[in-house]
Amino acid sequence: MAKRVDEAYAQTTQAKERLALVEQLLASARSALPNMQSAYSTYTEVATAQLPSQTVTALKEDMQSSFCLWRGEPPFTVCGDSWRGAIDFILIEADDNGDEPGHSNTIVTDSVSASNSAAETAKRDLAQTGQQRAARSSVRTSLVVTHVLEVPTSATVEAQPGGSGLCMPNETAGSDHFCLVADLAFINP
Amino acid sequence: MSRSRLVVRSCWTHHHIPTGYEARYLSRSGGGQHGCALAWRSSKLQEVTHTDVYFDELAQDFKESEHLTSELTRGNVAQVYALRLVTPPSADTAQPAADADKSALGIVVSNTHLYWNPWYSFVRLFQSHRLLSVLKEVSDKMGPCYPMVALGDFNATPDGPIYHFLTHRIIAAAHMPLFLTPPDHGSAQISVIATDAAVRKVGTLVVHRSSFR
Repeated sequence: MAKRVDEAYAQTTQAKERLALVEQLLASARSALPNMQSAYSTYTEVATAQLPSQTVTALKEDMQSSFCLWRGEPPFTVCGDSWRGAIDFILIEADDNGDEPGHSNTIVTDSVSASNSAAETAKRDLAQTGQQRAARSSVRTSLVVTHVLEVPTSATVEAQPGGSGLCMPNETAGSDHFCLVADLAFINP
Repeated sequence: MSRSRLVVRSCWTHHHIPTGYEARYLSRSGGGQHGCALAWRSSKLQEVTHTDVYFDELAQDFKESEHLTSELTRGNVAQVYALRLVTPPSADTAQPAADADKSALGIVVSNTHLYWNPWYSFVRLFQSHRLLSVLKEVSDKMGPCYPMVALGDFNATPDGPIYHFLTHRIIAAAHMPLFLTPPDHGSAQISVIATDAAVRKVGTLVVHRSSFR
């Protein structure tokens, strides 16, 4: 029992250390890192208007039958024998003006006191860089997604020869990952 | 608004590079046949600079901590390339090459395959942070005409913390417990932690972690 308690203490210490590091990492993230958005983030909404009704029905069935708790991204980008889900993305730089000043990077400041100063620093950084960000956005070339490649549905994968049920790869697909393609356009300021 | 068709592909091996593409392959730390490959149509894009990212280097910041060093040494890599759109030769002749690169349109594009284990969001968070940092660094160096694109297998679902971090640079409170659980997340150890008043708060969060299975 004593050994288990010692191990538990060690693991708890590690968990607290890990949490402190996460807090530290997040403190500067919003001011220091670029804002990205997924090219497929509105795929399921757009597909409803763009794809044939049969495909949309299959897509909706996939959304309901799979374990995905999200909307927008495709229900899956990998379709292996043991697991399927969306884990592949094309992320493009998003407009910095989309920042919401009310957001804080530090979530559990009541449990890690050391992170309070980091949270304050993050808020201060955010306020100070707000104007710089707006100015930066106005002079930067940006990208917009004009088209994305349709991703297969379960029905499509099942119909492909050589696979085992929903399993990829098969005779048509050389990988258990789908191919994601986005057509991007530059927008000059 | 100007439009240009970008042709960039990412893949995991370097065996299938089609004709007309230029490709770069970066092997995982430790070798083997796994790695990342980035290919682009050479008639459309031209390499300006690149940075190979070895995520194992993250562990160097935590040399004093054996468990962090171990957790962060997973062999994953990323490629970050600045590619400029190929323009007719006459357009660049009036400028020095370096200036021409910065004033031309281009992209800073990355390809990566982050650590796969679903229990290690902590590792993927550090890897994602490093990736975005390098992207930003290269993009800043290249100037305002090089927007950023990040491709890859992030081993993160859209309802999870890493996707949220990549797209919002924050972590939702509900996701914080995912960063607490030690790699050997046995339920017996969790129950011991939960009985200790001194660490009850962290212990409670660890217990919540099991609901994310």
